[in-house]
Amino acid sequence: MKFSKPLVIFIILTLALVIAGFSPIPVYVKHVLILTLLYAYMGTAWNLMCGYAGRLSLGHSAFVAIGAYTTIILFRQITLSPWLGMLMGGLLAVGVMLLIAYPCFRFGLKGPYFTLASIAVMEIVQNLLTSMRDLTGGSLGLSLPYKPTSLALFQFDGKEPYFLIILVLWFIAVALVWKMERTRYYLEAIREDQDAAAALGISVNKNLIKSAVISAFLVGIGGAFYVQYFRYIDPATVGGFSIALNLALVAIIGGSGTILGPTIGAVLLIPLSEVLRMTVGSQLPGLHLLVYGILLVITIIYLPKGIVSIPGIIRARKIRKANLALTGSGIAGGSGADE
Amino acid sequence: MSDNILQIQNISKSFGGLQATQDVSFDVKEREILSIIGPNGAGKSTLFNLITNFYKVDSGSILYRGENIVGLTPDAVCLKGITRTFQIARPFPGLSVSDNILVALLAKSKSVEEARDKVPAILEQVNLDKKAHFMGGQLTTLERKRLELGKALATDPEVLMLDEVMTGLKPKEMDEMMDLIRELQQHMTIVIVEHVMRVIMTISERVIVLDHGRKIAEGTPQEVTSNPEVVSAYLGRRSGNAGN
Ligand SMILES: Nc1ncnc2c1ncn2[C@@H]1O[C@H](COP(=O)(O)OP(=O)(O)OP(=O)(O)O)[C@@H](O)[C@H]1O
Ligand SMILES: [Mg+2]
Repeated sequence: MKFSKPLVIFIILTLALVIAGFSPIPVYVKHVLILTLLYAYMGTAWNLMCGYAGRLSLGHSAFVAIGAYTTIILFRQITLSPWLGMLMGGLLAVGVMLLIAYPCFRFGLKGPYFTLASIAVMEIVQNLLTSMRDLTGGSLGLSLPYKPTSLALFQFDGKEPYFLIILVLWFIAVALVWKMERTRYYLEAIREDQDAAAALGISVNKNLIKSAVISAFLVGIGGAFYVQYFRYIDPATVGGFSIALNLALVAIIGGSGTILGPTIGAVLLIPLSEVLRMTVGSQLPGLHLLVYGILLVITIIYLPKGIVSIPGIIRARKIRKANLALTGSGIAGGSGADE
Repeated sequence: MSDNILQIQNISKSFGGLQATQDVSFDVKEREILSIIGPNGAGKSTLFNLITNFYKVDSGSILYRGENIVGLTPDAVCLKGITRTFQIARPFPGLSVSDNILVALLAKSKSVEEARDKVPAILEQVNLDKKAHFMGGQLTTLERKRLELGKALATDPEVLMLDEVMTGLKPKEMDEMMDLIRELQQHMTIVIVEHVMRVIMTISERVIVLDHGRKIAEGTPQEVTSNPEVVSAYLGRRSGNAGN
């Protein structure tokens, strides 16, 4: 019962996306759709560690960059298939994540300290990429050598194949988080009170590391998709604050610590920012950030659990009313009758 | 070993210059109710934290069914069968009351479904069934204590360690809690830290008295309360309670 409703939304969402992607809509709209799915996908991955486990990272673009650069460098240097590059990128992202996450979790770094550490890591990765000029092209970035449409080389002339790939990635990520029900509960408990969680037999470190590893792997793969789709990357774009912030915002505004929150957030925010960029972007280039900021403030104040929590809030209000009607007299009578 | 489920052997712990636990040894027998008492700051909660490995002992060993559990992680200690409650209840504030219990059930359940099925029984046991949909953070202090107990029970422990679950209860609620503890004794061993003398005198089979981190007495409730050293430890500090 409890899970049927989100499941229905998930299925409808998937079908709607498939239909939209293959319908004769303008190419630009398809581009926005791909972008939306990319952020929905990476936001879902971000959400596992940062939403469920509450270890807020504002430096996740480090893993996007690692995934993207690994893929493109391996392709340019040794013509390794981007599909394998993608896997390597994901694994390298995991490696780097472990290097950071293990000591952070081991020594109980959380809250703002963890967030600051994540930002520092992003800066380090970005600086490394900029300084390793021979391999990465420095701040000028790298572009992907053009190849005619080829599945093996992950290069296509139309938008549809990219759409289909990112749709599958998004679907897998959401389904994975969905299937990890037990882990989700563990992570929530750890987020709420890690000592209390440990007292109940929940391994804090193991579960945190698990969430971090999966999160980094999926985001690394997202970075590989990014470079194949955009064909050009530089350290500031792919490894900078903008993507990191976007990941956090789609998840928080949509509903962090919920399965579909990041997707809902991406569906709302990404098209919105594209529309703003298209219409008033030339006069007011930073407008979408301002709108994000306002939305974020509104969400935090009125919907601390994001847009997805709206139905739940309405339901809870009903239950509370019903309970009050039931026990209202009981509370008043109970305390008096005790003595 | 035989009927000793826990053997605490010469454990010590200091925080900087403060010796919170000093060469404490005692045994816990299978299926008994053992009370640990002592003035404020005597080291009772620290003892719980040491047994469950939330704090690491400086020296000494803790045998659970003959196996030294010093150095395990707190979650591993729970999985072995020792669960503690916190003196200041620690609900998961952002989770509903039933999810609080569900989480506690999970570690020893094969599936989430199996755990979910067991939630209502535990809610009923600790009298929180009407609050199932409330958030952990919305509960009153007393409800938090009941949730704390419910979470501990949900882990299906062999040794249940309760840190001041009675504090703040009304006499009638205390009686209910004591009935519940006696009922639990059918299935598990109970170690209880308590200040309320009426409770200690009524339900414990044996009492251990701590003062300044040292064990100063051990015996039946009657033996312990007539021990001059115990009386003097309490005098001037908690004489009101000790006399009750
Ligand atoms: N983590 C800690 N760091 C430093 N000192 C501590 C720590 N935990 C406990 N102490 C100190 O150890 C001593 C024993 O504390 P403990 O909480 O075990 O006492 P208690 O017997 O449970 O007291 P109460 O009846 O007030 O709960 C106290 O002096 C306390 O301040
Ligand atoms: Mg205490």
